[in-house]
Amino acid sequence: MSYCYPNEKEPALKKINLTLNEGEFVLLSGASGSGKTTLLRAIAGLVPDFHGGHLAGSIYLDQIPLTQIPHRQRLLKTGIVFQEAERQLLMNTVEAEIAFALENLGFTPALIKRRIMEVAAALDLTDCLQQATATLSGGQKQKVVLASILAWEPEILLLDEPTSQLDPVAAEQILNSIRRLNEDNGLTIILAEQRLERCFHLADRVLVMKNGTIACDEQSFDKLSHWAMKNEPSCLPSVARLFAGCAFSNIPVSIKEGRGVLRSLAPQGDFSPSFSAASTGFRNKLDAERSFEQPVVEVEKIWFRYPEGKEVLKDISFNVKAGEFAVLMGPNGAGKSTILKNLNGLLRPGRGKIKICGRDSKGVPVAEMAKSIAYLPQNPDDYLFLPTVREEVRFSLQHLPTKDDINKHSDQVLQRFGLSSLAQLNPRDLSSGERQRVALAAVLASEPRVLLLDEPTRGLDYRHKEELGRFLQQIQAEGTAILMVSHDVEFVAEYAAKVIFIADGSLLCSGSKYDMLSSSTFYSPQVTKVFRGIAQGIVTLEQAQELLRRILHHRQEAIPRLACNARAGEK
Amino acid sequence: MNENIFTYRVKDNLIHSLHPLTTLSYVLVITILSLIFYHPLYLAALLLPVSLAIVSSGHYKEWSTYLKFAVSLIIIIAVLNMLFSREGETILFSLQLLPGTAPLDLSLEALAFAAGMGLRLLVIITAFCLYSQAIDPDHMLRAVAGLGKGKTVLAIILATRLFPQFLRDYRRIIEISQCRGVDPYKGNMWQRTCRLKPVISILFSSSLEQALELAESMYARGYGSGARSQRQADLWRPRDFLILLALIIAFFCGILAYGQGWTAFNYYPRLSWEFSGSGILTLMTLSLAIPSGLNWGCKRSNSFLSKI
Repeated sequence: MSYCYPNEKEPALKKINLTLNEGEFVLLSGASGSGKTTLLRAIAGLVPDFHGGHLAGSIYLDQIPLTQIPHRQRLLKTGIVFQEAERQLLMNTVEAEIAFALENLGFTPALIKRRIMEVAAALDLTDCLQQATATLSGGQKQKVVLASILAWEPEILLLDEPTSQLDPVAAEQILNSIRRLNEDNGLTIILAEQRLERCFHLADRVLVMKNGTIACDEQSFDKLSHWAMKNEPSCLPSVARLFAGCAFSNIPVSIKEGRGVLRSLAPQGDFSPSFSAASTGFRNKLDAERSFEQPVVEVEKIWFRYPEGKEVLKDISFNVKAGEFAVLMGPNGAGKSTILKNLNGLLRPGRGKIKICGRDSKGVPVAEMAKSIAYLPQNPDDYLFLPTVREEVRFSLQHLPTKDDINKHSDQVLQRFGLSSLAQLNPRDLSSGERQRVALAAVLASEPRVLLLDEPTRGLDYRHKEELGRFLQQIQAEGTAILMVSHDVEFVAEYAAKVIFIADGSLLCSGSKYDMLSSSTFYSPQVTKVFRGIAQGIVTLEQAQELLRRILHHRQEAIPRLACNARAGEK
Repeated sequence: MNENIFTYRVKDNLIHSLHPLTTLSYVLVITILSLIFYHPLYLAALLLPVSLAIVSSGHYKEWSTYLKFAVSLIIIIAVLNMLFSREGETILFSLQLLPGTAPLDLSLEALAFAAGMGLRLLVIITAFCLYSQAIDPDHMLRAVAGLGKGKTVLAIILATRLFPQFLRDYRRIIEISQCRGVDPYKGNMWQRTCRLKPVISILFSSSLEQALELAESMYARGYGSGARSQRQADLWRPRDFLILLALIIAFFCGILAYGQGWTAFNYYPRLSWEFSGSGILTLMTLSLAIPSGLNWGCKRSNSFLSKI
């Protein structure tokens, strides 16, 4: 099957041959723009039915061509959940939202009521059935969308990055609900996901997509891991990359399996203190160098309340030094984005003081603050309003004295961000990763001292995340202070230095990522979980691989020594 | 502008518990009568009960936002009408704008006409406020889908749902443009308008994207796949019949007064202070005040509430 969107020259799907079996949990992986969403749309019949375009070949559902099945009958078999829950909600209350699809499909009133009751109980939504959808948290909204699809009991559930906006706890809840449906009800699940660490272990089969084709289709994780290490390492979660990178033949895919392998390598108590990762050698050199810098962001006991009356920030104090990379983490609705808006002046604290580069921000207009503090929102599209990439960058350089200076500097910025070849294109026509890069180039062109980022990795694939992470570390090294809001634990573990935990508007704790992430249950990366109780302070993949190699080396040395001791004992 | 003024919120009072078609009928009767009335006293007699209904249903705060908007519109109407209307005979004062040109006469009649039309606008805006605050769009869709008009109402519901979203997006994009060093409130009106151009451009493109995503989600959830069913019809209670009866009385009173010519008012060329039909006017006002009266009674007595 091949498919091409209307007015596009390049097909989004190319010669796909695929058979999916009943009851399978299929994980769809691959870079942004590789065709994951289009494949889900094709299975759901949304392309070409809703989007138009040209579909060559056939899709069969229970051996009947999809085109021969009426819309309603097809829906009764397949249900699709899209990425952004907010944009799928139509009705005012949760109950009405769940009932919407059932009413559309002509279910009887008695059956509608029963299905609402059942699905609400299964997804823990019973208490909020009468609640307005606008007042729900991000996780609850995603559950409501899921419930509205599950209510008609489709045989195949298609999910397009359903956890991309959720904090780790809410994402875990959603994925557990999906796994239960697969195991208890035999529902066929096809899940497209970028954050593989959350769901890799749940899948029976993994499909890796590349440029509109299926590059790998494996049920054996060992084979998949070996293929991925040769072709596409980014499609593996960090626990698998850890062991695959150390040439293990059997690759663990879950934390439990990974810990089992580690324990088999060295039983408890077999580790010498030299394995501790808390030694400075493991830590980011930049962190140590920046410890004497002056703070450029000083937040002193700030309180903030929205006009509607809800108190969002309570007695928050922290600071960020020049060249420091700090991250605000915590559940959805904790007040993280509100902190960023208080810092750049979009919101003003009711009490407390904020100093940016030593200057009290009170009364300073946002436009003036923008000279020293740059802000990149969740959706970079909001930032891009000019017809070409070059003009976006030039717009940020208008403070420069002459036109020649602006031209020269904008060329330098475009080159530095690898955007020279895209300079004349409309930013809105670029891929998500490229748009993110253009927005960053526009933000950083004026060389601000502080950079604020709100969920910059949302919707980015591993390759783009790595690119972003390396770039942020580069500007960190140049002395820019970075404060980022993120739910992406793996990204934070790899690239950030300091973590500040916020919950219910209060600061819970803050410190080095090694202290914060290694002592957390949900907000810790996979490698930390694998080494928990075995070695302390392991946070990055590089650290974990280095430690694993040392364990292997130690074991290889120990085996002959133990054998000698044993032989001596026998004698 | 606060997006909350377009968002329905559940409240525990009699007006919120009415059948959506009862509340819609109330809003329609007020709107239709306000369009055929010219007499300021008759228009005021419409404004009074609908205002009472809003206040008693707990939406004074939202209504005050509507009022601010309405008053600013009325001022603009009054200024323009006084500047351009030449029909009034009672000249309040003359303005010599340019030397050598005829003076501009500002008349009492033009001011009164603008005030009368402003009052009408106020009634209509207040009725819309009641519609957006007191009718649950979900119930409305359900009620009217049963009458076979689902698509039209769905379009209205989508529009009313997307408007607050539109305002939220506008605010977010304005904030981001400020973060890029653009002060949207600085400079003269032309400069401010020029600065809004890119904001409007992003707003429209993101609204189109959102509309497409919502449409795809609706299609994927079976909208338009065939005949719809209804999980449950809204209940008709004695309170609905009481109010509908009162509405019929009020509507006939209004039509009678209109037929008798009592609702007309001569603004030009000179104001004529004629007023007739006080009995009909009182009956109409009292009938339209029945919802707020019942709501007041129910707040004081639970047994009264259970009876109706």
